[in-house]
Amino acid sequence: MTLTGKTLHVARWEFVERVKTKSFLIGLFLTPAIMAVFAVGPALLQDSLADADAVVVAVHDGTGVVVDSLVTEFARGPMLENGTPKYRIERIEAAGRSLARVKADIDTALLRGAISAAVVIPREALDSNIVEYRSTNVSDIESITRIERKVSDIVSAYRIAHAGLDPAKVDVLTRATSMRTVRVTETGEEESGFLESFGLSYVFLIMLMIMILSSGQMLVRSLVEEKSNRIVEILVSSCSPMDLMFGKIIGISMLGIVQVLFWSLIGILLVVAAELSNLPLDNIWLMLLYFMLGFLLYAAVFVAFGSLASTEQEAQQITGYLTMLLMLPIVIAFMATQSPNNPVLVVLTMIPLLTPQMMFMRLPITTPPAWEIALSLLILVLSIIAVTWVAGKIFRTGILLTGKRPSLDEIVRWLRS
Amino acid sequence: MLQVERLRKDFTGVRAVDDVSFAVRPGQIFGLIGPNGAGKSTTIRMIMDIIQPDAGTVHIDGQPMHERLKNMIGYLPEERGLYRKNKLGNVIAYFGALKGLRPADARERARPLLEQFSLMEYERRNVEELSKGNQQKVQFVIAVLHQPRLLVLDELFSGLDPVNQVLMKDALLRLKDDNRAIIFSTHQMEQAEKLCDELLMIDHGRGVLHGSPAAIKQQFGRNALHVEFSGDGAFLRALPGVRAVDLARNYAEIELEPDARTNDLIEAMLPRLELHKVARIEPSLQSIFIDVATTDARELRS
Repeated sequence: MTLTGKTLHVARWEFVERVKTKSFLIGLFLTPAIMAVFAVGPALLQDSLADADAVVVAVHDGTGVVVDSLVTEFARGPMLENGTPKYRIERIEAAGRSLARVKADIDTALLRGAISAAVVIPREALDSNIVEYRSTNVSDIESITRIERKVSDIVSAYRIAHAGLDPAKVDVLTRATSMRTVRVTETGEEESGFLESFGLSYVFLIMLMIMILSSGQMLVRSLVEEKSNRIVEILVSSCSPMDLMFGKIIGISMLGIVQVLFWSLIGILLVVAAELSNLPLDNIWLMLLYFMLGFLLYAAVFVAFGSLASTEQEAQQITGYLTMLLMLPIVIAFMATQSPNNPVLVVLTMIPLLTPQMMFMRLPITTPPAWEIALSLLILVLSIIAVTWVAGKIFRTGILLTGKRPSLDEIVRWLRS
Repeated sequence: MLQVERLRKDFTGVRAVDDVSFAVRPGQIFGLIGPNGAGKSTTIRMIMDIIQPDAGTVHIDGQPMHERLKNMIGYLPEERGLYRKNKLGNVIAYFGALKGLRPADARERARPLLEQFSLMEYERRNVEELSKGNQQKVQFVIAVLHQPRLLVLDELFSGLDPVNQVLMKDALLRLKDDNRAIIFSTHQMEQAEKLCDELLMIDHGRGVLHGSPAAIKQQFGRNALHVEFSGDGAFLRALPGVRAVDLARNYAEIELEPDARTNDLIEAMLPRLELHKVARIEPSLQSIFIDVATTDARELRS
């Protein structure tokens, strides 16, 4: 296995010619844009939909203790953008009508659109604890929970006062305790939440997946193009298959790195903007190392399988299978959030195809013992060497093959030769 | 320059190349001829180290094929291969770099060649904008760019119009004068006859004819005459010493027994026909090719 300067020419070609393409530039800017839309979009949409108009809520209060407080409470907030209360409470008196009659009238008003919702509090509500929310639209969860909580608070306060207790004192006595999570590290203690702990893990997981997928696809595509155009004959008669394979891996990895660096830059700017200062960055270099090694391992797997495809269709099939292979570690890695030091996870960490993903989940939470890190790195590096060797053997014969896909027997024969 | 010895290649059950040997000297144009599927391209791919022979050796300047030697070989593959979505100049620079040139030098060297084939205007355009014939010329430019000492050209002339064929032929002869060794494969016998110093005909994977075009023709020379006349030539078939006659209204191609004499035939014709022309027929390489290929096929079947 000898590499020459030609490796670099191949790498340069793959990098320079691809970095200029429209699809690469579009992917570079579009991916973060799409992610941003997914992250911020729903919230923006909700805001713009929700606060447009005041919600008119009719309240029929059979107990006579709720509605006054409800009016004062909602007058205080929440507010619309123009500074008026979002919820306008309209009292509905029985005025001699039966409860059924009141409901029927309310329903007519609802169907006419004169009011958006109605709350019916029957006389026995203080005992039965049941009030009714009537509306043509019962999916406005935000309004329903808000009204439910207010009514519930008012009823509780009434009961407490009725029992001769001081509501303010009861409030103090029944206040819930909240728990602050503190991560203890060798450099001291830090306050840390779920987002800070696992946010970084997810970023690494997803980045690795995107980088493997986009680079892998490019790799397989370029191989299929060269095969179907027979460019590969000129290439192989000019340089060794190893030059070609490593050149491609290097060139396309560089492309992936440019992509990830660009996205990371955006990410860092966002983190700075969001003032998330206490990200667990102590193991960041180790995580980056696992990232690169993981990428190389998967790249070699892609090259080996990719060199077997000779049509665009086969290429898609192969990348499809490999994508599934990529989902597996992610699913398993999510389990690691539950119990990062479970012995099963330690075993899974030693499986090279899972190592980077498992470490992404474990490293931000707790630093695994040194022997685990050393052993997993050793296994990872050895398997990169082994897979690359196998990939080289398959690649050497595979790239010149057109038409029939080789059988397993044939591939085994190539490995022996 | 190039020695090929006893090459053999089997593809699942079929012997594609069987015991082929030949040598090419500098300043020589060596023709590989044979029908489609005879094994020409497979032989060439083994020379180019694209596929591995099952047996036999390829030596260049006495050394077995090696990565370092690849820089002194230029190759034009049978199925043309160029990147389609990239600029012509960049593609040339890349392929030049893979043959050991600096990319900038490759660009510089390509200019006069592109000029010569009137392709200069395409240098900054995508390859896919070129016509088939122009892509062919580009492929040739790529093959000769690094001034290889050995050129391997698979079906060089296919897909070229007559004007470009002449252009290509001139380029080839200049390379020969420059003392480069050239192998070129074709099934166009006329081209082979005009250009090659030495020929090897391959059929069913085996070398069946080997030598200079003149020597091969001599070996296959037939005793045959082309006669133009006025009158009724039907009697010709009955003459002694005549083996076969291809008769038309005003001419005939007459094949004689090997020992029959031309003068006897003319004497027999003189009283009955008004003769305009009598000429000995030189067998064309084409007819030898067809002869050998068909008898070869018959032998294989029997």
